[in-house]
Amino acid sequence: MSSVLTLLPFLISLILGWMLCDLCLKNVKNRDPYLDVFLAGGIGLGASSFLMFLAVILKNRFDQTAVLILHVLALAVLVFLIYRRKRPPAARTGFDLTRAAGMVTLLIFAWPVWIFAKFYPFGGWDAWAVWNFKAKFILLSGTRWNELFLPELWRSSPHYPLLLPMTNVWLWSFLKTPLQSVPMILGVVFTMLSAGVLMFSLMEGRKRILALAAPVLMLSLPHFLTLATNQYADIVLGYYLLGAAVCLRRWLSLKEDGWGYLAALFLGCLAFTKPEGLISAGILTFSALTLTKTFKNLRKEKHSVGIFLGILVAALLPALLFKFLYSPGNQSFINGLLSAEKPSTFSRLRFILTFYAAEWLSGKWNGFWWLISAGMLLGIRKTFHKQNLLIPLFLLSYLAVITLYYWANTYFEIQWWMKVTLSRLITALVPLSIFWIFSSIIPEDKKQG
Amino acid sequence: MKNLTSFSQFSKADLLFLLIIGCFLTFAIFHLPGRLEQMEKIRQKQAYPFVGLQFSRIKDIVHPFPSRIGYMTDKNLSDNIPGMVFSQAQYVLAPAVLDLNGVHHKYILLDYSDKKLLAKIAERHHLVPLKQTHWGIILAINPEVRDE
Repeated sequence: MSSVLTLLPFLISLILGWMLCDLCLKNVKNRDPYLDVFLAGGIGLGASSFLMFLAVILKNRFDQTAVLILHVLALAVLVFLIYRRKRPPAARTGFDLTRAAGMVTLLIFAWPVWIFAKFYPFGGWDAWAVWNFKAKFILLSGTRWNELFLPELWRSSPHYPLLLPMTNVWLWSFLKTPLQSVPMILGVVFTMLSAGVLMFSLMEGRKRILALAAPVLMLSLPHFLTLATNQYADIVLGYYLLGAAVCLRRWLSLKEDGWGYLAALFLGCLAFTKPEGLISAGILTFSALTLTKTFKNLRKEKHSVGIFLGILVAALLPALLFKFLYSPGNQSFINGLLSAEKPSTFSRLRFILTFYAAEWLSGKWNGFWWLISAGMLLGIRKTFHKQNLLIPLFLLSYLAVITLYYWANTYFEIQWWMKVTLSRLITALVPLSIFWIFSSIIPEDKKQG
Repeated sequence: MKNLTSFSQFSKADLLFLLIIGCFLTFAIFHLPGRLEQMEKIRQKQAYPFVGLQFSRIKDIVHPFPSRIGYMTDKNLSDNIPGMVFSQAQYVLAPAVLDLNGVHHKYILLDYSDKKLLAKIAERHHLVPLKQTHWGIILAINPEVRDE
């Protein structure tokens, strides 16, 4: 019975996500149902997390009935909106051997992901100290839930947004008990969703067989698997980052506005994952809107940019509500640029850059970053081609912001801080980096159109 | 022949990159089963050590369960092990909030390495020990404080 009650919220979220994808992509031709499933899974979990947050705010406590009513209402509205539209979705039908092989590959690689997840059933340090603690607190504390933001709980980083804890609360909501296996399963789910989006987005319009290698590359990295399954928010951030980039890239290169609308939903989820997620969402949006100027078709279509911005504002509401109404602010921050006691020194900056180089060279990544660098250099014309420019533009801006933050925030000793955080930050960039290189290298298949 | 012509769409640099990826994947895929086997063996020998589980039975002892529990210690929580024990205790005992070095609570956890100091503290605050975990952490009650 408990396994049914564990799976039921996943299923409801998948249906919710499927409907949201269907609504956004209503005018997109030749949709790939395989890709849709992997996009819908994440969007659905994000939407359920938003609804859980809304239910907690409205009732000032965890309330199973409230969150269920909100889900039923959301599903009813989506059914109505989908039913009243004129044109039915034009999905691709028929058996596709390469895509089926892709699904089999993912199923095979789900096994090592599960072994890694089981190795640390309670997850890593931040799983029990931050993410799962917050979820458990919200579920069990009743009207005291906003004590989460008390200064005495500074160890749980009260300024971190609540997408992951609220998702866990939603997944526990039928059981009404904080079953430890649920966050573990969620880590596996987000890892596999990332692999699925990576694979099926690369298959679209390209030599499909080569796209099979992309998720295999990701899922055969032991260090990535350890960090992806340790129940932190980094794999969640990595998934939404990849989803947003895939949708934005399609919006920029194809004449299909639906991808922009779906990208806006991904950006909203991304902003609610972590403070870095909010920064990433800002950089991606700014980069995409800057790049629209280079694409004639979008410059002419101000209407679609307007709708994109409208959906984006709505999707950003949970992150903004949290930021301005609940977050107590970052208590572990000293502005070293202004502080006389703990200034940002040149040696600190030099250490940061040296640490990047050490991470790049580190054997724990099995040479993965060398491979990405080699791909970038060997295909330099394509990797920085205007069609692929969004991702390198994002990566460079993001690394610049992160470097500035490491340098300017002198609250922590830099050696310890980078040692415990840099690998995690980089883990979130792995799916996106693979997508960037593979989407640049694999040539388009003219037969697929 | 058809496959060869389809590969002509790749530049030499792309083909070199694909060759590197092929080598990388071959290496990674051959090493992964060994790593998984090693992990399974470790877990067969030793279950996952989660020190926070020592606090899980406290919920059965303490009625009604308080919203605040004091946590007194002479250890430096910036150090790895004491910090981990505190964070895991906080996780296991949620939704109670652990008040570090807060003495005015009905229930207090005492995590001391110096037993003389522990005795002094217990005497000074009139604490009565209720239970000791296998890691030596004591749950004490202050009978003078009312329920929280």
